[in-house]
Amino acid sequence: MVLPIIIDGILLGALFAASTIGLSMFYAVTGIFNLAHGALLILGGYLVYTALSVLGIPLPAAIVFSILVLGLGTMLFYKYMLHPIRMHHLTCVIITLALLLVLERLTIVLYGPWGLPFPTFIPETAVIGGVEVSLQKIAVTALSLAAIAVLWLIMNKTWLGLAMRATIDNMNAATAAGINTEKIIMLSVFISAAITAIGGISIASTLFLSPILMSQMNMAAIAVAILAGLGSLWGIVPAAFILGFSDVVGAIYFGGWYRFVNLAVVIIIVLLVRPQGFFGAKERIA
Amino acid sequence: MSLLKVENATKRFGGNVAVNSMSLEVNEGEIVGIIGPNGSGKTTLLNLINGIIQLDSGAIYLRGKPIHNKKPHQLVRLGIGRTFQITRVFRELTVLENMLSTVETGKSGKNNLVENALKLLELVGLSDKLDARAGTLSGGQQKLLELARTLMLNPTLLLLDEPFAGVHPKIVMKLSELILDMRKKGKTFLIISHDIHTISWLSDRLVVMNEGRKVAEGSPEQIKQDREVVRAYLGV
Repeated sequence: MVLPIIIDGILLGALFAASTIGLSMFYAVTGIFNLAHGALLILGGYLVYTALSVLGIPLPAAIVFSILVLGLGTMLFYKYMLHPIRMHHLTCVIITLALLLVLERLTIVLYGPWGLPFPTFIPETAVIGGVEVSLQKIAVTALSLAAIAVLWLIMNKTWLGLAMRATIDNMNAATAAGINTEKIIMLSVFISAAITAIGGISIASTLFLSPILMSQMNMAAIAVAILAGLGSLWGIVPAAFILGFSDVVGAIYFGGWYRFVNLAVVIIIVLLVRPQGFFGAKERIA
Repeated sequence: MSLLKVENATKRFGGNVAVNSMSLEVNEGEIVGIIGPNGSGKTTLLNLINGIIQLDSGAIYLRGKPIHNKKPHQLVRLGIGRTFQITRVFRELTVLENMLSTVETGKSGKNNLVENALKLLELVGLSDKLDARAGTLSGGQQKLLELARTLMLNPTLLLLDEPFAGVHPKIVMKLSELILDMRKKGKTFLIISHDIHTISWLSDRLVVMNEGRKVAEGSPEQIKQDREVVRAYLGV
């Protein structure tokens, strides 16, 4: 009984982590909470689907296509719609809400309101301790964790990552240190969208593609981000696994209806007991 | 030719004229102090010089070339370094990472970067704090780190905003010695300070601001006897 919980918890935790880290990174760099994050996530999956079924390109190229399109699109949206008014945080958040609604409607128009099955590339299964697990699920989990690991390496072991961490820490100090903070912000927005695309691909290949998932995954990502603490990048990983495991355990003991109730319960408890989340700062420094 | 020339600089914030037709020249190798009551426009002037805010009118020249439309990171590459009244270090980064964050400017080759950082940290007495998070340092140590980080950029002109404020006299002495040492190496300083005693013995020349304007300029001895200065500070 324990092993299936562990396996499902790991798979779900990795999916939550890859789905949320882009949201946290976007907030850390820009100071704007992106309510369209769930839409961008699922759009990442739709872009791969389009590349595979319409453009007929192989899976690795389809993943790169999704990353590039989502990355560039998010960067351009931020540059022209949000950056000029970034001091007006509430207005920016409302604009991202508008983007969520636009993307939901656009997806329905282009792909229909019904769910689309994502192609199965690896139909085989593996048996781990007597539990049968889809190899495709293992592969996307590995991809998600690898993407997070690459992000960690960039942030902590490269000169670019040092400039990004400096800009996140104190933008005015970064400017004084000669860092082109505008360039770094744009690059960081691109990277956050790239990792969001990978999160979307994980969701698409694990569940399915549907416009309904845009708002639902928004809620899941927000729950993980609040548990970790807004602006905390690496707190996302333990928070995602905590939520993943609690979701799996809750579903087993209370039933499937508990899945999304779990997220709301976690948000309420964390905000009451520790409003800054497990790893968040109590206030953001400009 | 002067190193820095500010010509009739004016900056308004709504109805408030923070800097009003301010003119100033700084020659190479000089230490010029800027003093004046609170709200006289001193920090706004520095913000205009290093591009944080833009002029409403007037001009600023560095070695005869206009710089008033340039962004702060561009001015760093042209040789202007700046420290702030409220110290701006990267609190979550280590002391060494704070120093290495200047790599973007390309002022030090990446191979020399660590070597230069260690030398400067030795100079300011922080070489035993390499792996400490900058946010855990004392206020005085953060000021030393900010100055060391600015020196990593190898600036020609350093703009220091209240470097002596709120720190122990020993740190004041250390900062002063560092400034004089750097001046011998050819650096030029424009320093805002309320510490009249320190800025007077450190500076070649003092500029006094009040209500956004220059009200007096001269040697520290001349300034101490200037009636306009007394009026500006005491309101009599």
